[in-house]
Amino acid sequence: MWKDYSSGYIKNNRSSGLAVMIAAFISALLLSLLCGIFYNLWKYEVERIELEEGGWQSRLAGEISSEDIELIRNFAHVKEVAVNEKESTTAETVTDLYFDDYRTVLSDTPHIAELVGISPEKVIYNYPLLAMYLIRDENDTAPRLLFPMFILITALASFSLIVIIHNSFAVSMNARIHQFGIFSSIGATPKQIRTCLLQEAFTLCAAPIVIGNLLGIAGSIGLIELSNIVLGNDIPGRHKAVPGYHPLVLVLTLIVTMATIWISAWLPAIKLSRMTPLEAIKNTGELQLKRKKNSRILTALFGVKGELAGNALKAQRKALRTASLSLILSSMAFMIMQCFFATSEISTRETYFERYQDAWDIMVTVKDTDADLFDKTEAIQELTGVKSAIIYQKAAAKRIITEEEMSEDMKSFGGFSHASDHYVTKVNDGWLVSVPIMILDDNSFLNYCEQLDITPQLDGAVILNMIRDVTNPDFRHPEFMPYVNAPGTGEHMTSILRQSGNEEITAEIPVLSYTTEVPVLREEYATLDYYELVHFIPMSLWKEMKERIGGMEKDLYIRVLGRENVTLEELHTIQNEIHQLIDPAYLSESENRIQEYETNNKQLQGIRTVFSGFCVLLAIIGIGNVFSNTLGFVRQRKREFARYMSVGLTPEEIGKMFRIEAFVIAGRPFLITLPLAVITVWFMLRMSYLEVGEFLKDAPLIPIAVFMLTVIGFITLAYYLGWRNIRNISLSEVLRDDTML
Amino acid sequence: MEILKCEGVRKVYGAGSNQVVALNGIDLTINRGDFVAIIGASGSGKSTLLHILGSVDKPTSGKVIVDGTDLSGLNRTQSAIFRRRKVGLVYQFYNLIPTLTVQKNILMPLALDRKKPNPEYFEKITASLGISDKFDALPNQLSGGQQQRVAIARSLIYRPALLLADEPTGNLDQKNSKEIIDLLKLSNRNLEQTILLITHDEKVALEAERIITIEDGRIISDKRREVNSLS
Repeated sequence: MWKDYSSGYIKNNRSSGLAVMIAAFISALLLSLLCGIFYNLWKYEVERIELEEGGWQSRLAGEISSEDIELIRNFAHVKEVAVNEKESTTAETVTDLYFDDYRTVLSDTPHIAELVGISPEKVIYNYPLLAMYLIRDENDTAPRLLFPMFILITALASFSLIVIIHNSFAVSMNARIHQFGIFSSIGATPKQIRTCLLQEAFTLCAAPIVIGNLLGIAGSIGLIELSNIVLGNDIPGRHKAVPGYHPLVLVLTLIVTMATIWISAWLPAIKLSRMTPLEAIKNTGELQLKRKKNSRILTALFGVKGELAGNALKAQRKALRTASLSLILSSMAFMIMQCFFATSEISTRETYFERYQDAWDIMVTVKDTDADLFDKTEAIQELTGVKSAIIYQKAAAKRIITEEEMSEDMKSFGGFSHASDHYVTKVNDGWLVSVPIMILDDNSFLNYCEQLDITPQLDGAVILNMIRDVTNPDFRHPEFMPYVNAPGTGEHMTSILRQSGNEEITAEIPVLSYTTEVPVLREEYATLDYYELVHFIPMSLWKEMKERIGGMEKDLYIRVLGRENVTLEELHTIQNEIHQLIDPAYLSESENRIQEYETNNKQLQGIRTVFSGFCVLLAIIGIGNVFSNTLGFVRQRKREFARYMSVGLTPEEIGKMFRIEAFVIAGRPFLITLPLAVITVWFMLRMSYLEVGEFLKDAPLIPIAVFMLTVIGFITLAYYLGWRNIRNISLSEVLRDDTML
Repeated sequence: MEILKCEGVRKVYGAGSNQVVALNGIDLTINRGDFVAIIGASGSGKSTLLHILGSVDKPTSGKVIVDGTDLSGLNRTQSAIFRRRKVGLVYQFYNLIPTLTVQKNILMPLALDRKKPNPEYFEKITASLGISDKFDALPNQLSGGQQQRVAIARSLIYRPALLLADEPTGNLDQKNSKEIIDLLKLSNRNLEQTILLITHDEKVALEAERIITIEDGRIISDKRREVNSLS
């Protein structure tokens, strides 16, 4: 059948196979992209483990002589043995074992250990690395999710593609039910028909599969390169990803792609081959309405032509299912995704960048360093280009708030009645609350005192005296009120701090002021625990009380502000100078605001582009299906229109009917998705407490309009080309033409 | 020698109050080389009978044996192979594959079996049907009469035990109708082809040597007659 029928059919009916080819291409592209990305993720993860943990597969610790090492080296499958000087101590030698064949690691290492007299508990395996090669040991209880995730996501992608593209195959096959009925009547077996259909499908799909796979590979490599550009040096601990590909991945991708396409083609093929010759032969291929349905809107808008167009669309519903599904899904995903990113950008800008724009230019985290032992404070503060630099560290303590201390405003919203036990504990005298202590270098603390118009001194604390109205959930527009009653001027003010976890140990410190003004730090206060009472104290005071209160965090921070309108280059220079000052004496990491803002924008743009790309690919499946319909059902549509003409419809009226169809096909996805998108956006705005006006100023109207107009443009083109093929109807010829019957 | 035997063939469509009895106890025997016409009004059950004899449809009950094969026991694949090798079907609307040339249409039953045609036999039937010069044409480039000749050639290519023709002249003018009937008679005589012709046209039926009349799914008459030889 292939030689005699299918090859000729494919050659002479290229347009009817268009949707199938596009569907196959997109499937191959997406699956190849997915597999390529997973391979690169896997590769990156292996490299990361090797960089962090080392590339050894198993490790022996104990008394190991050079003879033992030679013995291990000669063991089958052992590629290399190396003494790990860093991990070794005088008491025991640690040797790293590298194997030729990873599958033998778990079975050979115990034998090797026995051979050199190392007890089993001194055998260590590099489980994270072995798991990357699917080698699991029952003692490795950590969840290794990369492969299960890959299998799950690939299976989901495959399943989704089958749901979407099998209809393209069905449309192409169903257009020839009558012909297969003839074949069946002259003796073609169901198997022969099925084989013929699958052969056709694979011939049509071969080139798109290859091209899609190659582009998918290129795309995955491109995405990895893009991730290097976007994330490159900005994420601490991230190493540069080296894009790669492996022939086995290509084999796997081809298997997954072929299986997806084969199932998509097999589903309609099996259905068609099971039809009896009588059923198939009676099928004229014409689009029929199963039951009477009214197209009220189209009839009201366009009269009888609207009704006929509506009926034609209903009759084509199955043929256009892929188009409807993919266009609705893609426009829905595109609109919601664009709106989500717009909302997210506004939110990040308002809650992060705008709020912290003046709070910092450079942030340096100095690892494992106590602020009171840090000796570069003044040097940093004197650097050229540095307007202000605060060296600070955080500590955690507790304090009791009594009923009398509680402000009237706080009492008015219920005091601590809304507080979770996790944050606030009821004690005899009142309520035990958390006290974050912000320890500032002395100079910065004195400056802060000046900022507050109080006498600069280093023997007391400034307390942030405000609490959010917890009954108002609007985090974007919170209302603040005094937390405690501030004593009057001249009154003696102290705060009794308690060691966290050991509250009997206390330190009473003078309070210089209760304020609502905070020093310029890149910090947010009371975000999770609304009831915390923040204390700002100078380093000198901390030195006196640190032994009693403790609770200091390991890292210290340096917040640097440059001049007004500082440039990225200037910030890079200051950053370098700070590192030259503190490295290598201290281990540090730094970030700068402009760079972070740009990186954040790049990341969002990258994610937006990738998601948009998926939406566009989904839309292409739908558009391909529309092209296939308008170009593939020429004969059926000619007969349908000839009948209309025979009862008096003019070609112009039929043209109008065709235009109505195009209008509905192009407009329907947006008519359905626009209200849904509006509801979703409304919900998102409510969740993020953004005003509609704020959103509308940054609403992604242009990308959505471009997407919509492009889809509408292509559908119009498909219908225009279809109409060009159909419009020259010779009434007598078409009505007489029964070769297709 | 018997080529076809039907015993108590019954075909019922639908169920309950929508039940329609299309054939109701058909007993029929046809010998090799017979030219039989089945005549009946529209809805009498003649096409249903033809579909059952061609293994296109299955009887609800009863037995059909064609050239020693009991059709009731055949599965889908066996039925298809039976249609390919044992029967030739000719329809009113020709049912040619529009994308295949005349030659490929004719040879399709053999191609399905991966068999090569006997050139002499192929030449003989195409010449006798007058389509030797149309091999490379597509069906839509032929007249109705020519398309029906191609359909007959296709039905004969496998030398079937039985040629079943369902209103083969129903879509043709008088001249073409006569030519098609003459060609069927010719193949009956020259190739000893058994032919079962279904028609509602009495004039066409009179060309057969045996006329069976069906009414309401039953055979109401079965007459043999002498026919004129071809001029």
